[in-house]
Amino acid sequence: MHELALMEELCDLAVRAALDHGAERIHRVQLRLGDRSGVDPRALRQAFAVVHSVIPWDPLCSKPLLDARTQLNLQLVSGTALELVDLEVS
Amino acid sequence: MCGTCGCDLTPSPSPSPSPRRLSLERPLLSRNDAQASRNRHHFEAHRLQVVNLLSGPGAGKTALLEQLAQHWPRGPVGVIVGDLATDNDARRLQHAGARAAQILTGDRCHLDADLVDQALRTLDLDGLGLLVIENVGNLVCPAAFDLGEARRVVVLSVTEGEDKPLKYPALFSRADAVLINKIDLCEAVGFDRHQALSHLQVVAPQAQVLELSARTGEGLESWITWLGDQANTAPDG
Repeated sequence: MHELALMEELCDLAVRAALDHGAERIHRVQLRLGDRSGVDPRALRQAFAVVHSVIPWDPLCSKPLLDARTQLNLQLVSGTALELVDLEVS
Repeated sequence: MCGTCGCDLTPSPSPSPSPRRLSLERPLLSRNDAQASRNRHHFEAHRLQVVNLLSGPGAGKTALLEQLAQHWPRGPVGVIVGDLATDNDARRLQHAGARAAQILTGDRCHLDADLVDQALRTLDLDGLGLLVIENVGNLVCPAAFDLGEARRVVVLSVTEGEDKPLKYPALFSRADAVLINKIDLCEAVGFDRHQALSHLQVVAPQAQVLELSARTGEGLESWITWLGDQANTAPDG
């Protein structure tokens, strides 16, 4: 279940980027996922649900930047890509 | 102040700003990749050839490394061995003459570059020319994690069946070499060698395929020769 480790990394990257840009909420996270990345999309979605439920709080302002309402969009491509493409924030 | 309890009134929420897009285009494993890059520089500074050895559980990685430790002609072999629990493998390898450090991963199903960095601190690299990182036995999870190695070697044993490369292409497609182990059991388990080779040709055409047996020593020489040849080429070559 390495998807869990990947999603921890994703939440960390996303929350830091959102804070750096003064955002208070992350509405959508978009990932690019290659068919040879060794990552199963369904397991990734399950891991995302687990991770955002255990680290929902931004330590600086105590508001949930990422939570159950945050959407995870997957761009499925060929190759080994495993990249955070963009965020929709406000 | 509110009239009931004297607390500060909660300010009315400001209207939410409209959503905007932040373009990031960052590898999800950028933190692991950065540590892997530091590991790689560290290995190059020590002129250390490093191999990431991967397979499913029970394919014979440790038995192959015991043989390698006993027959490698260029001095001691270092091994970093990852398992969920027990240091049995490290003790087996030390008994065979390797300098071995065990990483216990707990519930983690793969090694990452940071765990390798920590294990390196416990290993005496002086005089080592070859370091093998024996990954956690798993054909899925370790594939995505660069550890800083120069070469990836995947072990497929004949008891697992010839279709493993097709079932787990992510791991095999990034291999520099595939070792078909337990080749002495080929007939006994009805392993279709030609079919396995043709599956590997589809999924991992770049990989050097070597057939061997850790138990009998058959084909071991070809692996040692291959490793020696890799040491003579640039790490990224």
